[in-house]
Formats: sequence, structure tokens, C-alpha cells
Amino acid sequence: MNKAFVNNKKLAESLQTLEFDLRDNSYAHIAFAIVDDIRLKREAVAELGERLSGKYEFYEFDFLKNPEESLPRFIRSIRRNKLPCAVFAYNLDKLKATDEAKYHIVINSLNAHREDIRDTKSSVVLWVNSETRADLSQYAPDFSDWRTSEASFALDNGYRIAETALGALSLIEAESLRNQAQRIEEALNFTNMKPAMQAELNKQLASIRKKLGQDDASKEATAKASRAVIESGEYARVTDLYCQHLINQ
Amino acid sequence: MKIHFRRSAAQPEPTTAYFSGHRGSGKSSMLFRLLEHLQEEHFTIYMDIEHNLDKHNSNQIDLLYLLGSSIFKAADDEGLQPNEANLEALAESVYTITYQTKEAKNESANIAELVKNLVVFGASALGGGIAEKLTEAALKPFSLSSGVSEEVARKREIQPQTQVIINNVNLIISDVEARSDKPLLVIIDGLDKVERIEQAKLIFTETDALSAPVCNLIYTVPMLLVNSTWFRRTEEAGTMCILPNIKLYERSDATIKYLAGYDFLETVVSKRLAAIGLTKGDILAEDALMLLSEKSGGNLLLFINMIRAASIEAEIAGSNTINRDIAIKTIDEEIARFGYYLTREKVKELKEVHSEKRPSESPLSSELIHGQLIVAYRNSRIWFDAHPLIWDEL
Repeated sequence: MNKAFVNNKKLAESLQTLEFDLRDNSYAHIAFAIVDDIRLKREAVAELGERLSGKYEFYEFDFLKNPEESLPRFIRSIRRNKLPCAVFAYNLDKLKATDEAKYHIVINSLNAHREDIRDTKSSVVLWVNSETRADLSQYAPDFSDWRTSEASFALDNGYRIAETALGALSLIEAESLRNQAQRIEEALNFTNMKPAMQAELNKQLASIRKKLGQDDASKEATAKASRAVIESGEYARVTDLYCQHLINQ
Repeated sequence: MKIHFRRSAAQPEPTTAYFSGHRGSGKSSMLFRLLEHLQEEHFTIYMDIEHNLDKHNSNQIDLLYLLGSSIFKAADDEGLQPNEANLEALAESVYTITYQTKEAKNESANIAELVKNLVVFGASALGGGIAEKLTEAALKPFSLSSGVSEEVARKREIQPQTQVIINNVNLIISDVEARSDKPLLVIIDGLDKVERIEQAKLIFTETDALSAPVCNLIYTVPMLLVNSTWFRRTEEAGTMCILPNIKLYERSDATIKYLAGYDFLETVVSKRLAAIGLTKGDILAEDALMLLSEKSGGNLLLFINMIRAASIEAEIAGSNTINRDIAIKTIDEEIARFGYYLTREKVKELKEVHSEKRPSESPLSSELIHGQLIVAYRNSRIWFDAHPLIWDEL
């Protein structure tokens, strides 16, 4: 967790606005997240992803990397699974700098196909800067009006947000790791598990927790893995675990 | 091996074992018997890659994918209701190597349907109906594929993702072990039929992926790999067992017959004939049987096939029994078939093996072992010789 989203009142409120809107996953949302600072955007994406974890199947869409594919078409091509999906869409603002004509085509497409997005029952969180937010009001007014929430993330002058391990992961990587951690913890609740399996699963859990920036949980899992390794008495696993411990330091 | 796995059921650390032998030496039959003996204390699963993968192009990622999916299917077939989320996570982690996120998620959503096509034998199937299932499988060819090419499978960059795949396989294993309340024992047969040395090395020696799943595992291994130093490291991490051909003569002197080997082959043929209401004496002259046994090199499949071919020869010749002349004619035809492959280089290598009783580490030697022109036997240790069918050519 990035403490800035708790300690900084403005950031905390902005994040809560999006979180509370998107928490109900029974209908399609269109949320606007306005942020000019790249680092802050990365941390806000990670934090929102963590708070909504388990409620959505997450996808990411990059306007800059996929200028030929429209966001509504991308959403339509997602196969529906057990959870509703949420697409975090980035870099529409950067498209303006590289190909302004394409930028306007994309904005028009959002306006024209807003019903498609709603019909798929998928939610979209559009991460844009203030300039693109203004363009959306001007060139995609209906799409803008259909937004279910909007939040601005900004830092006071001279303030720099702390970077976290979670922020360094993509939204999908982080969610995949959280899912893995959850399944490992469920598995570790089984009784009669052999020490070798306990050691292996705890070792993996420690590594996942470390990647997610949950250092205390990582240390706890490493300690459990160590105890299981000693019980299994397998030399190869002892060396393996020691290497893992060094990496996690 | 049976004793080893009986002990492992009570031990904290599972075992990985490698089982090898020439084609037709009886490996699969032996493995089925082993499973029957270990069913009480293990949740046993048998699969053959020939029915489930493209054996010419599969790699360690395909095998891990097959392993996890097969364990899931066997548990599902046994009514254990394994956690489907683990299977989907496995598929997604596999497809992530080659596909974009959206495609990987879309593809993995199909996995529960896909695994229904796998040919896997769990505890109840091992009790009977295997022949029917195999026939059914042959009529509906299917192969599971990770979509990962051999070239990509060799790349170091995919190692983190391979670890995620292994984690997902381990989650399936722990789920099934918890539900069955028994340790798993999985046999992956058919890997001995991998023909390319590069593919065999990729699967068995270039990564630790196959020994990473935390359950008891038995892999069959191609003979072309077992005498190589590359395989030593893999072998050290597990248990190696070679099912050699039946010994018919002594290593020190090929003219000294090892009669117990001949007796074993005679018992096999007597049992098979008894099953169709015949006795050995009805159709086989004693000297013909001796000759066919000797030239079989102790390979059961070749021995049975030669007797079958000889019986057809006898019928064509209007004879009621397989006599010495018919046996010689059958053997000559086998020699001709072998002789087709005998280039000057191979003859030179075979001569050295025939005199030294051990192969070299050259690729040619591996090829000759794979083609059974060099065969393995065992006393207290493994030794090799050129196949008796081609001794006259040397």
C-alpha cells in the first residue's frame, strides 16, 4: 500500500471516489481519472487495482500501442468470464502528441460507440491528463456525460510521491500475483500436507508477497518455508530457500 | 522401484524417478504393474504423451501443462471435484508466454472443456477398460499444446514464467492430494520415444522443470540419453531405473549362454500359446525356439514378432511347426532389415561396442542405441553390445 493515498487527504478522497463508484460491479461504469504526473498515475493505478482486487477481471488498453484498434472493439472481443471485466485505458493524451488526427478519430469513436461499452457490461477507467479531459468534454460530450465518476489526482508543488514495489507492476501482473497468493494460502489451509509441499508453497508465497511490496508477509512466509524445509530434510530445498532469502533481503 | 515408492509414501519428500529401456522391453507393462501395486497408498495416474501431445515437437512447457491438466482430469474423473480455478490459472500462465493478456485469458477459459479430451488413467480406470480407452483415443486423435515453440522454450527469459507454471501445477497437486488424502504418483510414459537428441536434452537436461512439481513422478527416458554425461545431473536429482533386454549370454564371453534368460522367453511364449489353447510343442521345434531367442537380443517385442512372422512362414510353407529352417528364414529377413542401416561408420562403431561392451559418447552411438543396433543388458551393472542379429556383419 502506498501511504500517500491514506495520509494525503486530497489523494485519499480522489481514490475513494473511484473506488466507491467501481466497487459495485453489477453494471458498466465509465470513470475518468485525471492525472498529469506519470509516477502518481502509476501509483494510483496500482492502489485502485489493489482496492478493487477480486471484483473484476482486469485488462489494460494502451491507445498509443494500439492506435488502429478501438477501445469498444477491444472490450467486445473479451470473452466473458466469471467476473465482470474492468479495462484501464492509458495514453490517450500521448496519442495527441504523436498523431493528432488519430487522436480525434479515437475520441469520436468513444463518443459514437459508448453504447457498445455499456452493453458489454464492462467498466472502463480512462486515465488522462487535464488537457485530454477538456478535449473529451468538447469532442466526446455524450461519452463524457455518461461517466459514472471522475477524480483528479494532483500533488502539491514540490511534493513527490514515494514509489512502491506494487506501483512497478502492471495492473494485470499485480492482480495475477494476488490471485496466486490467495490460491496458495487456501492450499496451505489443507491438512496433512507434506513438508516438501509446505516448503515449496511458502517459498513461492514469500516471493509473491515480496513482489507485491508486502515485506512483513514475505518474511513470515519465508520463516514458515524454513521450518518446513528443516522438517523435510531435503538439502536441495535448503540451498534453494537460502538463495531465495538472499534475493528477498 | 516399488520398494522405493512404498517408502516415499511415508516420507516428507516426494521422489522423481526416470525409467528407461529399449522399445519393446516391456516398460509400459512394468509401469502398469507398478501402479497396481502402489494403488493402495497413492493416488495413481498414468498417461502416455503419445495420446496427449505432439511427441515430435513437445517441450518442457507442454509437459508441465499436460502434467497439471492430467492430474486435474484424473481427479475430476474420480469425482474429487478439484478446484477449477487452479486449472484455469495454469492454462493462463502457459498461454501468457505466447499470447497477449486478452488472448491468454480468452484461451484459458476453454481449458475445462479441453482437458476432457485427455487420455489419462486414474485409479478406477487402471482396474480395467484401458484397452477400450486407448482404442477410443486412437480414433479421436488429440494433442494438447502450449503453443510455445522449442526455440522459445530454450530462452532464459521465460524462466520466471516457467516458475509461475510450476507453481500452478503444484497448486493442482496440493489440491488433489488434499481431496484424495493420498500422495500422488504420476507416470508419464512415452517420453522414451522422443527421437531427436536435441529435443530430449531440452526436456531432460537443460532445465529442472520436470523435477520441480512436488509429487512422486516417474518419467520414461529415451535410451539415447541415458548413457550421456548430460543426463548425469538430472539423474542425480532423482532415481534412475533401466529395464534392460533379457540377458542371454555372459558379458565376458558371448558363447556362454545365460540359460535363465532363455527359460524366461520360453515361459513367455508358452503362456501366450496357452491363451489360444496351444502348447509350445504343438508349433515350435526346440532348436528353432533356441535360435529365435538367441537372435532376439532379449527384446520381448522383437522375440514375439519373430515368432509371429515365423508362424506365417510356416503356414506358407505348409508346415505345422516352426522348424529350424523356417526360423533361419525369418531371422534372415530381420537381418536384411537391420542391414539396410549399416553404413561403414556404423559398422566401425558397432565393432568397437561389440568388443568393448560399452558405447562411445558420440551422437552416432546414441543413434545406434535408439535404433536398437546397440542393446543394453545388465549383470550387477549395465553393459552394451551390438545386436546379435548383426554379429555376422561385423
